[in-house]
Parts: sequence; C-alpha cells; structure tokens
Amino acid sequence: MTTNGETARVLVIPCSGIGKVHGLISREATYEITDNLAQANADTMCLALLVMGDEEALSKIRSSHCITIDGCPKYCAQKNVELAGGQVAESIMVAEAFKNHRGAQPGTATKLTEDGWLVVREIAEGLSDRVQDLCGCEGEH
Amino acid sequence: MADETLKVGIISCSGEEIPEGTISRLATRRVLELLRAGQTVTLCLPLFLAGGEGERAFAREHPTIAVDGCGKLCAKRGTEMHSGPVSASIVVSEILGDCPSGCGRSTKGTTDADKEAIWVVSERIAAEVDAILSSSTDCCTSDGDDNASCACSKPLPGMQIEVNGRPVTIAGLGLIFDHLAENGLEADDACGDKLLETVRIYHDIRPSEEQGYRSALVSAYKAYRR
Amino acid sequence: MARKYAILPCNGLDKLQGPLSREVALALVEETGGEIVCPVLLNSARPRYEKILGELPLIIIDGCGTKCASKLAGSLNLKVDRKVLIADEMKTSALTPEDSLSLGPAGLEFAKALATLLAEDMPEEPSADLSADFDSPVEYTSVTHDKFIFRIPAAGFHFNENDCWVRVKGTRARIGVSDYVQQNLTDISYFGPPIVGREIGQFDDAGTVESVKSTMDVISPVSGKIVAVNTALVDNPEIINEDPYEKGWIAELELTDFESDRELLIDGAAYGEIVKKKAAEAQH
Repeated sequence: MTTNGETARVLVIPCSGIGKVHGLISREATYEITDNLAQANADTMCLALLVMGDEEALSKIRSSHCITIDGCPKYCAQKNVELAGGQVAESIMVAEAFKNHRGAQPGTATKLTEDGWLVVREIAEGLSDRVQDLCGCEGEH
Repeated sequence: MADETLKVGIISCSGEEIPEGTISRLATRRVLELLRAGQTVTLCLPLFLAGGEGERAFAREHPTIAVDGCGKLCAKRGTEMHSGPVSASIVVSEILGDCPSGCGRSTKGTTDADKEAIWVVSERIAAEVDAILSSSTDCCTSDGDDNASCACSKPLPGMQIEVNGRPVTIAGLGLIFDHLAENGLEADDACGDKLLETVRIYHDIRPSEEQGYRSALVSAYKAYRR
Repeated sequence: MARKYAILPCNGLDKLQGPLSREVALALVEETGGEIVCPVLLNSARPRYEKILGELPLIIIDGCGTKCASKLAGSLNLKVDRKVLIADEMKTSALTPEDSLSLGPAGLEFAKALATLLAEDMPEEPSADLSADFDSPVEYTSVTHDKFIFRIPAAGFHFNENDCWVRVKGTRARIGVSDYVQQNLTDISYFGPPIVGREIGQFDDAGTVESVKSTMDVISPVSGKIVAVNTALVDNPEIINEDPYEKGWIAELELTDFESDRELLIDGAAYGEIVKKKAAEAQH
C-alpha cells in the first residue's frame, strides 16, 4: 500500500544486505523513494517474505512494476524478484554507483555518514524519475 | 585451525515494510559490534535465501539465532528450510508489542523510541547468545554469589531484591537500571511499569507476583539512584 | 583464431532484415564463439549482460536504416567495436535472400556467407602464446573462517605477506591480490594501474585497489619490468572481486631475478595458514 492507501503501481525492493554498507544504502534509498520522493506511487515489500512464498507478496509483485536495488553484484533482490515471477523494470546496483564517488566514506552497515546519504539521495532521485515513467505520471513533486 | 572459539550465528529478517524489520536488523548489528563482538557472526538473510553457501554452511554447523520482525518468521523458516533448526527464535513484535509507536523504518532521524527498542531487543539477543554459549560447554558453574558465571561468557553481576518477603536475584539488574537511568527514567512511584516491562524480558515473572515485583523494583531503583 | 565478440543483433519482426540479422548472429557464434546479447533482455535487465559486455568487444548487427540495435547500445552508453547493417550488405552481396519473413535457403546462405566474411575480417586474439600460458586452468583449495570461504590456488602461485600473489611462466609473471583481500575490501570500485614500462623491485607498489571500506596498495611479490596491465580492470574493477586469481590479474612483468625473490615468498598452503590467522584477528 502507498501512504494514501491505494495499491502501489511500483514496488521498490532493496536487498537490505546486513553485512555491508551497500545493503543499508539500498534500504535507505528505497525509503527515500517510498516515503518522500514518490510516496503516492511507490511502495516497498519485504524481500524475505517474497522468497518464502507469501501468497499476498507474490500476487502484489506480479501485478506491479518492480524496481530492485541491490547492494552488490550478487543481485539477491533482482534474482529473487525474477524467480518469484516479478518483472524487473529497473535494476540498480549500489556498488556501481560508487565508481562515481571515488574516495567516499559512506559509513557502515549500521549507520551512514553524509557521504552515504549523498549516494542514497542520488540513487533515489534517479529511481523516482523512473517511478514516474512507469506510472505515466507527471509532476509528482 | 587458528580459531576454535564457538561462535553463534544470528540471522535477522530486515523486513522492509515495517519498523520491526529495521529494529531487528539494528539490534543484531548492536550485538555483533558491541555486546558480543567476537562471539557472534551475522548471516545475511537475502544472500542466505539466494543460495549463499558460506551462510548456509555456517548455520548448519553452528548454533544460530533467528531474529524476526513479526510473526511471519521469515528468518526462522528460511533457516530451517536450508540449514536446519535454529537454536533460538526472537520475534521483535512479541517483545515490543504492536507496532511500536515512535519507531520508524529509516535510520534517518533515529528517535528515542527507536534507540530504546533496539536496546531492548539487542539485550535479549545477547542473553540468548550467552545461554547458547554456556549450555554448549561443561564449564558452567555457580560461583556461590549467584552471579551468572561461565568460563566462556562474561559474568553478569546479579542484584538481589525482596519480592513479597522472598529474596530474589536478578542477573544484570544493575545494567538495566543504568540503561533506564540514561534514558531518563525518574526514580519515582510511576517508574514501576517501565521497570517491570524491561526486567521481565530477562527474568520470568508470574502474573500473580507482578505487584510484588513492581514494588520491589521501584524500591531498588530508588535506592540505586540515590 | 578470430576474436570472440558479444553480438547484439536487431530484433526486427516486420521485415526480412530482422530474421537475417539474427541468423547472421547465430552463424557468427558458430564460427568464432562469443555470446549473443538479446536486445529485449538488455533493454529490461542490463545487469544480466554486465559480465559479457565487460569482457568481450561488442559487434552490432542492425537490420535496416532505423538501426534500433545501435540506438539501444547508444542509450546504454555501450562501447561498440564494430557495426554491420544488413540492408547495406544485401545491396553489395551477390546472394539474394527470398523476400519473406521466413528465411529460405537463399536467406540462410546469405547469412552464413556474411558471417564467414565478418569472421575473416576480425582481428586475431592478442598474444595468443603468452595468454595460453596464463590461461591454463587453476585448481583451488580453500580455508574457512566463520561463514567466509577463502580460495587459494592449489599450486603454481606464490604469495607475499601483503596478500599479493605471483604466477610465473618462464621469464614472465602475473601478479594480483588474493581472495582474502577482495573479500576484506568488499566491492572494489577503483583500480589504479601501475605504469607499463616501469622497473619495480620486490615489495614495490604496483597499483592500487579501492573500495568504500579501504584503499590498498598492491605490493609486488617480485622484481621486474611491467610489460602489461589488465586494462579491463579500469572500467570494471569488480572483476577482481569475481575472479581475483585469473581474470582479475593486475599486471604482467618480465622478471629480473625470480630465484632470489622466491626466497621471501611462501606457497599457497603456508599462505592459507596466514589467512586463517588474519581472519581470526580481523574485526568483521
């Protein structure tokens, strides 16, 4: 559900990997989109719930556009969403984003620094535009 | 092998949809980094479910605690599916009650409610780690002073209170008092509910004894804070 | 042998050139190896092809003047090595495919002939003899600490205590960083190559690898002259994470005095013991 109670048209699903800062960034970028930049059209979903075969979760991803945000090249979110029958319209990998931020010290898997929040914001802004494209929306903000 | 120390695995749900998922995750990290550093290993649930062989092998061969945000028990069920039974299962929503008010999903702007929730859950996880480590060896003994003591875990100083005329020792009570004091709990007659709620996480309190424990804890807390 | 390519054909369904494009791609794979890149999947899930596009040069086969495959590649900022336009090839070929969306014998013959022509025109694989030496398969053992599994080549590699390896073939050697390093650093986002032509001593710096966690100088296990650098790592440093001992090699050297250098190096088994100790001491 979106914050206004309607069925979300875009599901943004992060990997939330707990071992590296990239997982935290994937998660926070998701919340930046769903709670702030595109809250009328985007929501998230528990990846583990999907992987465990929850019927409601499966039904939701099959009827929504999906965007996955993975921390690293293992692509846990993208792979699992595809395996569950979701159509991944856009896939982002956080580690790739750091190629444009040489020297950044983003923090740890527990807490982000300002550098980390900068990358969060960058990923989220790029993807919120994609959310609008997928919804055929204009002027969300 | 260079490292023979038994370690406990912790696999946390990180449920994205609810604050309990974030609390579960951060409480696990607090145990890994602070409370039981060197004694625990976190296992990445998405990687575990996606086929991570290192994670699955560790959970097969070591005692593992599943920490779930809610009653759907994704971490517990996922571990059982791929590696075998868990040694303990912690459910954040059962510890904290219904969606904890004041807690958010994002770590941006962490509130006092978030910190409190993370603290409570992490201490509970740490207690389970200690229980696993102490039961896994033959070296556990009582040192006669009613301190929980084991060669493989840190001693938890106990504190004795009097409940309905009966002496009761509660391990870690001093730590609980310290934490609540740091978070602003006043030592007055109104602090009983909060004391009771926190202590019963670690110490069994029968409903029939609640009133007795409440009075005893309030007296002890007031004395501690003097 | 002709080089292998990643081959991106067009996906046209309403003109003859579309099926011809696909058939040429299939014939080219048969002649030279390589991988076909599906334009539809590339457009919807680019990460699926990151590895292939990072490793192989790209050839595009457009069907007609709309050049959809070229436009797709442009929109994804892909580096293109070569382009072919079926419509132009049809004008200059002596063969005339049937004007039908289902390819007949003439269409198949055209596609095969064009693929053969393209294969003959492709440059050879560089330094074939030298690459073959370092391309021989490596067998691995592993050491485990907690949930981490660290691979170590079973034979043929030497290590220094700075976690860098060397693999010697005759008077040449390749160097790189170990699996322990890439796991410790996590996702490597930057590779600073050493300078080709430079003479370095044993334990001199030979490049840097960086991640958000840390920066590490590559400490050369051997002395020699740097004759080649793995330039693929510049745009795709994650290759070091994926395959630190083979595709993730960092530099190739003409050795100065390996027999002397060797005295200060250790074999894989000894390095494995060091990894166990380091992993136990490290804070994860």
